[in-house]
Amino acid sequence: MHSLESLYTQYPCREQQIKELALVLTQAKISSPPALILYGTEATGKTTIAKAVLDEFNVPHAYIRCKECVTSRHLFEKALAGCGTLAVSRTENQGQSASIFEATAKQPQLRPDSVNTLTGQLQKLLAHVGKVVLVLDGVDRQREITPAILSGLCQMGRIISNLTVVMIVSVHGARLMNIADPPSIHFPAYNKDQCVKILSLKPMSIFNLEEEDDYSTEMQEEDNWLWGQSCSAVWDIMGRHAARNIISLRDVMRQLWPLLIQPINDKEYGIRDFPKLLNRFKSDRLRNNEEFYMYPRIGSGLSQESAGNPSDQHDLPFFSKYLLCAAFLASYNSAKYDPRYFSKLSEAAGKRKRIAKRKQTGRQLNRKHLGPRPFPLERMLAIFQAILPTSLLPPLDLGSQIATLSSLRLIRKVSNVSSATDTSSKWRVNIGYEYAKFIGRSVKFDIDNHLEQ
Amino acid sequence: MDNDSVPNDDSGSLEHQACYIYTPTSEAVSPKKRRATSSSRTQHSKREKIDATDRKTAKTQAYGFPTLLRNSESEDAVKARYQALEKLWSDVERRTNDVLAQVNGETLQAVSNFVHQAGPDLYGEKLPTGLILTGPNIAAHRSLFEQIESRIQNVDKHGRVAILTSKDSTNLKNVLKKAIRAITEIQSGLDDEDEVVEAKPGRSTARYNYDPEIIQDWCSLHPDAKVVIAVQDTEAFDPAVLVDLITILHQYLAKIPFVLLLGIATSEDLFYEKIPYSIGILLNGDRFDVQRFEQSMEQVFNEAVLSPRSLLKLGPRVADLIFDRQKDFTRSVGTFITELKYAYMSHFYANALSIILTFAEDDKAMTELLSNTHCEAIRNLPSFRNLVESTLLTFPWRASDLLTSNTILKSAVLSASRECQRYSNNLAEAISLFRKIQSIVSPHQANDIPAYELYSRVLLGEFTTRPAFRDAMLTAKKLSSERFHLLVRTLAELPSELSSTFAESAAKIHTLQSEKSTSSLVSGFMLPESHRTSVKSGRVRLDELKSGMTSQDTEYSKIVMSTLETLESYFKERFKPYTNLFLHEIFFYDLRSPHSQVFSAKPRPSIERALSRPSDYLGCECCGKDAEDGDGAGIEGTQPYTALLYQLYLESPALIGIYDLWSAFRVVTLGEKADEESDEDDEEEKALQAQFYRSLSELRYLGFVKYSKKKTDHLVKLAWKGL
Repeated sequence: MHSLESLYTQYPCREQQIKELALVLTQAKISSPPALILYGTEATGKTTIAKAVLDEFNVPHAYIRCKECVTSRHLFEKALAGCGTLAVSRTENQGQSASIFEATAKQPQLRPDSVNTLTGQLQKLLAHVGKVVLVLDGVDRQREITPAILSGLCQMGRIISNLTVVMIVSVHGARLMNIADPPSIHFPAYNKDQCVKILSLKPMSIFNLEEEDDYSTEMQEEDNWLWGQSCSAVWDIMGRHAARNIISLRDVMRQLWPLLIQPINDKEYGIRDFPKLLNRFKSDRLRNNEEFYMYPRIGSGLSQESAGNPSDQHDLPFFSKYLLCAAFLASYNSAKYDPRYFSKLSEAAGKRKRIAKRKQTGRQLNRKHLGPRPFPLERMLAIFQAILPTSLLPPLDLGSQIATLSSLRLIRKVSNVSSATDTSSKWRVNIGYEYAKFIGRSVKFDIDNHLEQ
Repeated sequence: MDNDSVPNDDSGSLEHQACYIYTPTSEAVSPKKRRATSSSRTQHSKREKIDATDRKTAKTQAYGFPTLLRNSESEDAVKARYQALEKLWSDVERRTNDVLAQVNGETLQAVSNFVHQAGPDLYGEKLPTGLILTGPNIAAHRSLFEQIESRIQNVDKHGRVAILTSKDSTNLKNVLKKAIRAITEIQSGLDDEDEVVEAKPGRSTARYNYDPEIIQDWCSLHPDAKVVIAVQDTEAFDPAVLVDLITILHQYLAKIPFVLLLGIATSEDLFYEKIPYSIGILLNGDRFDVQRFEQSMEQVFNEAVLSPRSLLKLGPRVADLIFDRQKDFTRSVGTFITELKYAYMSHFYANALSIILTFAEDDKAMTELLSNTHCEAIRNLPSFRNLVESTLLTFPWRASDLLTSNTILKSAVLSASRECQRYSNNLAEAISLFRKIQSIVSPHQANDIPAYELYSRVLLGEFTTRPAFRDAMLTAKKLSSERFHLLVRTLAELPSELSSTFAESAAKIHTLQSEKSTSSLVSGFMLPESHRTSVKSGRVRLDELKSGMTSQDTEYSKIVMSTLETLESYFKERFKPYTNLFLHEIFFYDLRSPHSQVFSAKPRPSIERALSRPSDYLGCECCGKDAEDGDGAGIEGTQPYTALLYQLYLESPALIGIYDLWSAFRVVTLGEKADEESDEDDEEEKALQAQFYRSLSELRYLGFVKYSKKKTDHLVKLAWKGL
């Protein structure tokens, strides 16, 4: 059990799983199960542990990353190719004649296009090679895999007696594989202490050393201490988001680390002044925008905080903005109240107040939360004319504006009418309230005045 | 409402005559054309008539240019006009293309560097992603991405680029197939669903043609090359396919050096709303911004219009029209160039005098080519009239010479063309000077006016009275001495006749500053505003402050004062209205109606107007009598049937019963006779019914109605008037 011990130290907090896996896969005397399911949410060490155990005990295996496969046929082909190389290496090891494989190699054109053919080919291929393991990683994440294929893949182990199919999935439902009770190993999510412990295996350094040799044991201790402290602090600060998994905690830590240790490098604080360091960090750097680190945005480093500033963005043409507002209003207002919101007669405005008051007593959902509804193009044009500050004889450009907006997917056509500008076609706006409000404000149009509450 | 009633709009054929007598012939001119109330319409119809006569009389020349001046223009002159257009426009086009090529240079360089550096050292396990904020002008995206492609692939040789558009985004397989083909340049048919590709020699099994490992094979042959996947229109790309694509690229990142470029036309927020968090955290990289529309527009405008090498300038009204359209609708440099080209074409096509533009340097050719008719035409220009009237006061004999002698006139034309060029060069210089002042005086002002918007106001000569100008001058007065020094130094560096004056005052300020080394100089204008508001106590305080000024400060105040006065008089001198110039009609193209008709045609309002008020177009006796009263034109039995039906249609609800429509139609057309018992076999009735159906199908063809599926014999109203 020496190798097991080394695995335990390498991969802490997973002793149970490692032991189970090793037990199931490495026993030469008893026959291994036809299928084995490793399940657990993202970043719980499923793949790493599986690979480590298989490698450590020299279990003959083929490993397929299913996410890499574009189609299910692509997956079958990869599985066959993986098992093929495995079989060749096995027979070479055992010194058997490779006649069988020559036979199969002679017909490479036969491509597996279903689970059945794959099973048949594997059966021939693996007939004399002893126990092998086929690992299908993330098989439930492949786009084209249907439940039928999944259970088919699972059944392969029954048909081919010396094959064990190890499936790594994120969720394990009892009926997922459609077989009675496949043995399974659960990988639960790491908790705070476990996360910190695992991350502490590889701490980042405070010291910017040019040569490895200068790194002393003391320094290592300092690093470990501060890293552990800050990991648990960051988990506490951002736990709500970072608890998603250990990988995002690690990413956030990598991002924050240079900022956190800056005062140390500037010789303002000592390494052991952790509370001060943390307070400084919280007040100077975070300023309540933890989400900034949690939802990383491309190219928006700390230096450019104005990066997401909307006023800095490219502008739409003037009338496009009004069209967009009109489309938004057409989607979120119901047509029967249009005269109330868009009629320029004062009488309608008075009526609107009265009705609006009565409405409030009823229990109704805000329109904004119900999602956009389709509207005919003609209605949008009418609202557009109604909200424009000046009257406009629509020139040809308006049509191209609508086309541009739709190819930017700010508005979308929902009905299947041949011509896009056919007046009877139905459309739907594709932007949210915030963006519409921003667009409206940039042309000094307050969308709330016309929006049904 | 524009008033282009200046004679030079008349295509040159009649402008050399003070008036002309119009003798209507039965077939030459369509009697349907009638002068409508709006003058743009008048012009339009006039133009049509002239074109019709011209076409009849003039034999078609080579180049497709008509012979103008009542067919008396010589063939050489026509040729000269055509060649002038070719020469001038090709020059402008070349220069604008050069500018456009440089416009995105910085962005291209940044993207190329990003692609070069992207790798595991910088971005770890994340997929290197460049967000390219392209702006909403989708017409320019294609060329931008082609520029990126050629920069990365051919110039800097960092790897290969596959450009994907939303058209390819039907499913993941097609996207990958296209990317693989673009990168490995393996040509294989798309027709076969899962065609296999012969992989590199030595591999026993072939691959599917969407297998990213084909790229991996390719990469093993090209070890340093990056594989760039560029998505041109991320918004339109199917989000599900995009997510799959990113997952796949990320999966293969360890084996293939992928770099993802995403073109974002709207805003980053909308992009992040679209992709799930689990995909968002796979990406890391940088964002790149292309130049703002305002900046690139200004650069192109400076080169294409303001540059002294562009002889033909835009007039203020055309410029307003063009830039209003830019602001309201297009926001694209490409359309500006099209409109400018149209201005050139229209000027040389229809204005016989445009040949003068070719003689900018060549006096001899002009005397040869300008015929007597040309001279007559020149004498009919309004600016000639202004010229004669102004010379009449000072040199009466010269005025009479201008009117009688063609040689004198030609020399006047020559000097006028030089004057026009000098004027526009001065103008360009003054505009750039003013832009400089603006940028220094109020560097962060959001509403600074770009050169192309200044231009039309400046041409009209009213800019110096505008608040924008006054503001700039007043703020300049109140600048701190450091900034004022900077301003004066910058102005001294610009090439203008004032540069020496500015250099002098800059030197003076510098010496004053060094004399008064303790603090910065204070001018009398910098005293806070609040001290001047309240009368009595304010005066006292002001005096105190003034007495606190040192001698250097007083000296400095004088310099500020004199500099600003020089500037102001300079601008007032330069920003005179262009209409004062003789021959401004030739050097400034200012016809609104061709542009508005060509570039912002209004088909829907025109059709609706034609149908609801046919008298506007027909001008016939029977139904035209009400038109003069304004909106009084109602339904009349004499109007065309389709127009009648349309007006009935306007009055009906969203669902129209065909029988109701027919009875209303019958009453309107038959008038009193309709009350009589209708007779099924009546010939007149039958004919009317046929007309009714014909009109109805015409309305259907125009897209106003369609048959209802809900109710038999009913029509659905599809279009409302005035939208």
